[in-house]
Order: sequence, then C-alpha cells, then structure tokens
Amino acid sequence: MSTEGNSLQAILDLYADYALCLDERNFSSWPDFFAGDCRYEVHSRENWDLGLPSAMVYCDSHGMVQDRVSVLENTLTFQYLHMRHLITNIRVSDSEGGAHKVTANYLVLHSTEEGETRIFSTGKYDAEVVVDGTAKFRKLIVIADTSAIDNLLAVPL
Amino acid sequence: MSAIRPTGLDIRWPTEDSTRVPYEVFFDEDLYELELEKIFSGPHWTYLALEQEVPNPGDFTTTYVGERCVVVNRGLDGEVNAFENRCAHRGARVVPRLRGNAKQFNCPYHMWCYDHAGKLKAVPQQKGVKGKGGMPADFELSSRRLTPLKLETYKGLIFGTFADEIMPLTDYLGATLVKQIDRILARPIRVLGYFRQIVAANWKLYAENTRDPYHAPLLHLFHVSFGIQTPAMEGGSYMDPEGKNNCILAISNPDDAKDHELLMEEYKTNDKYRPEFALKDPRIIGTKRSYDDGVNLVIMSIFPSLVIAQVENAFQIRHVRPKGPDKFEIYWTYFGFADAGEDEADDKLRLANMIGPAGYISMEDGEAARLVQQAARTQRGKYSFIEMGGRGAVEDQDTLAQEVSLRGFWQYYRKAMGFNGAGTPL
Repeated sequence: MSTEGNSLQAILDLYADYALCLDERNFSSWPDFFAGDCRYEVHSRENWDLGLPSAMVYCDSHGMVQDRVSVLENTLTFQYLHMRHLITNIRVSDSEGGAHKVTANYLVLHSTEEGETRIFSTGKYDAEVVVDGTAKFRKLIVIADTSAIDNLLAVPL
Repeated sequence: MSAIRPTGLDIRWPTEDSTRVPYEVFFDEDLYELELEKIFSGPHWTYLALEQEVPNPGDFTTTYVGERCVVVNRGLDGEVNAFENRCAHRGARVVPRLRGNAKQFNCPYHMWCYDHAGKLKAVPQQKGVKGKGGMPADFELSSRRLTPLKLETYKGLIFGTFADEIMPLTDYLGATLVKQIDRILARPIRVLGYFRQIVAANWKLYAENTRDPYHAPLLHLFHVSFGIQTPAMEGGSYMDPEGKNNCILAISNPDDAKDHELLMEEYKTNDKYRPEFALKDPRIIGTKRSYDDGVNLVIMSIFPSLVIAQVENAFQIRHVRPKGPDKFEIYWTYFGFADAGEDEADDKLRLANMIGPAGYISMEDGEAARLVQQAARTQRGKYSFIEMGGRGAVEDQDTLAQEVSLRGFWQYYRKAMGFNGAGTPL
C-alpha cells in the first residue's frame, strides 16, 4: 500500500464517518460526504450483470444527492428502523487523475423498534475518493447483491 | 375443482356491492391455496415476459404464474413457447438459471431432455443397460412432457394461462385497457432495468392500491408537492365490462395551478404538509414528455397480477408475484424507448428515482400494504370499508376522489373464486 499515510487515514475515516452518519439518522449531513461535482448510484447486481443502465437511485449532481435525503425527511412514509452499516475489505488504489479508486464490501442490518434484526442489504461500494485534507466521494456506485429490496429503500445505502 | 375445497373456510361478504371486504381474504391460508388454483391456474391471462426478452432462438427467461415457475423461450423455429419448470419425471426444476440460452433443456436430476416446446425428446437408459432395467416396453416419449401454457401476445407483451378454456386476450383486457396499452406501447420500448421489491403483505392489497386514486395525493406527498397527481386534476377510473381491469388516468389542464392552491388548504391539517419544500435539482420533474398529450399518470391494473403504468414521464410494467398469503414480490420492468435521443435517454435514468423500491412515489405503496397486513391479521369476521365514490353499481368514474374500482376488483374476485352471494365459496 503506497498511498500516503495521511490520505489513507482520511479515506478510512470517510467510510467510518459515512456509516456513523446514516446509522445515527443524521440524514441532512449525508450530502457532506460528497464532493461538489459528484455521482451516487445504487444498482442491483441483477441489472449490473445484465449491463442494463438503470439504477434504483440515480444522482448525477450534488443537488440530487441533497434531494435524496430532503425527500426522505420531508415527504416519505417509511418504517422507523435502526440501521447498522458494516463496511469492510476496504482497498485503496494510488491516486490517479486526482482521485483514489476505493472498493469495499458492505452489509446493512435493520432492527425494528421491537428489536428484531434482519439483513437488509449486502453488496459492494465502487468509489472514487478525492482527498484534500478530508476525503470525499466524487463517485460512489453501490452494487447491491440484494437485488430484491425488503419493502423499500428510503435511507441511502 | 372441488376436490381441494378447504374445510372450515367460512368467509362472509355482508354487502352485495363489495363495500365491505372481509379481512380474512388477506391472511387465510386455505383461501390462498384456493386462489392459486382458481385464479392463477384458472381462466385468467397472466403476464409472462416481453417478446424482446427472448430475441434469439434458444433464449429463455423465467417467471411465475401464481407460485408456479414458468420458462418462456424462443424455440429454434423462432416461435415463442412457455412451459412449467417442473420435470415430468419426478418434479425437479428443469431450468436452474433465471435467464439464458439453451439448445435443449436437460433436467439436472436424471437428464431427461426436452425441446423448447417442452416435449420429451430423450430419457437416459430408457431401454435399460445390458438388457436389464429401463422403462417398461410400452413407455413412449410422447406420453410425458413439460406442462405447456397457452400463449397470446399483444404489442410485444406475452401472456400465458394454464386453462384450456379462456376468452381471447384482447376481450379479456377490454377495449378501454387495449386503447391505453396501445398508447403506452406506441413507440418501440427498450428495457432499462429490473427492480424487485418484496412486500410483507397479501398480493390483493397491492391490487387494491393500484386501483385507488384516492390515496395517491395523500400517502404520496411527493405527488401533490410537484403536481403529478392532485385530486383536482382531470381524470378518473375506467374499467373493462367485468370490472376486473382498471385504468386510472390523470391529465394536466390549465386550471391545475389554481385548483392546486385551493387543495393545499386541505393539507394544512396534515403534519407532513410542507408548502416550502422544493427540489435542489428539479430535473426529474417536467422532463420533455415521451408522449406529448398532457397525460400525467396512467395506472393500468389487469387482473390478476399486472400493472402497466406511466408516472409523470417514467414508464413501467409491474408483475405482482404472490409468495404465500402474507408476502408478494413486485417485479418491475422499467423501460424507455428504443428510438429515444440522448436527452430522453438521460432523462429516463434520472426518472428512475420516481419508481421502483427506491422511488419517491412508489416506495410507499409497499409500506401501506404492510401496515394493513399487520393490522388485518387479528380481524377475522370484520370488514374493511369502501364507500369513497359511493355505493351500489360499479361504474366508470370521472373523478380521482373515489375508490370505486376496488369494488370492481372484489366483485370479479368473488365470482372467480366461486363465492356465492354473501356466503362461502362453492
């Protein structure tokens, strides 16, 4: 791993902070993890493998990233659940074109208010991360092995 | 047909016009088994796939009719076939993959070999080995085959049925629905993606939901906030003569903005009302329409399990797949148009945010069904209440402030299931 130590630590912090932000339902801070010019997409593994273009969640601007969570807070009806994002196997490439390519696995668990836990989604994150003091996603592509969504996908993966 | 009549099934319908629906229909296991037989294996057309999903000889894709897994394929002769995915020997699933291309179909268990029509072509060791074993001398390959479905295709949509006797597909759909299908499929379509949503509720709660224009601007605040469907819009519910299929239409008109302001007064009692709410990036609203005719919303519900819809400018097919009395899948086929230019194709990628399991509008429908299912479970002998739009005869409605076509669904359902008047199934 030749990525400079400070950058590597900033990238690891990004993933830990990202998980914490969503798990603590701090939705309005979620767009802060993205660079000004950014892309966030959630694809099903099924579509990805078939080469079909449509994502379940498709944000090709920072405004759309902000809208994802403001719609969540302002208009949507969905079940109150506790969430855990477990992000592992983080692999960081050298910086190329100003960004690091970073891959990781994720597992999101949901627990009801009455305390029953289910696996909600698992898959991988393919990201491009820019580091300028702090690290931010220039691109975060989520590929969900869990193509069949349990009821609905309101909170970003 | 009465051989599997469940014992103890005592479900009563207190009104002839189906303004009351017994909650048992959403959780009773015996009733569910009867539905699989009488509805899904009965004389009804189930949507299977698109012709373009099996473009080349040998291509196959799998789907479900009720809970029965079905393989749809294009034969080496170019004809489309469908058969139940269950070996005629000992019942194993013959085709283990979701999609693919095959020169023939071999059951993995004992390698019984079938052609694309489902005809048995070869049985290993049929004549025995070294003069011993094998099938009886009078066994003929033509005596066993995979169970075929009768097929009809309309505008590239393949429908199938296990029934021998059934009315022609276009009669089954009805002229009202045919006209709307013609509109939505006037241009050649291109599949952009599939979405799957698993809902912990009975499939009929979704049948109600997609026939219900009353809920749309109330549950889906997004609809009202961005003027996609408001109760004041021109539109209504339009059915086939049997009441089983319905089309909700909402059409923009010049008075929308004024009507909209008046309606917003009604939402002031709702704590979700957000008059100031706006999108930072509004490119998903008001994209250039794929059909420039003012239609904002079309939700076609075709008995038992198909929805074809346009929400704003996002087009989809939703296939509802029951998975037991308290679970169903919505299998979405999201499509754009093969002749679209770059701008329209780009718009469609952003419009995906409206529909599917993460859709700003549609994600909430599964949640509504789940909430009813949870509460219904304890309500044996009690009834839901369906009187928005009035009682009595089920007729087309020129307003969105009603839920009359739910009663059309239930009237037909009662007939299809053999419920006799207000009493129990025959």
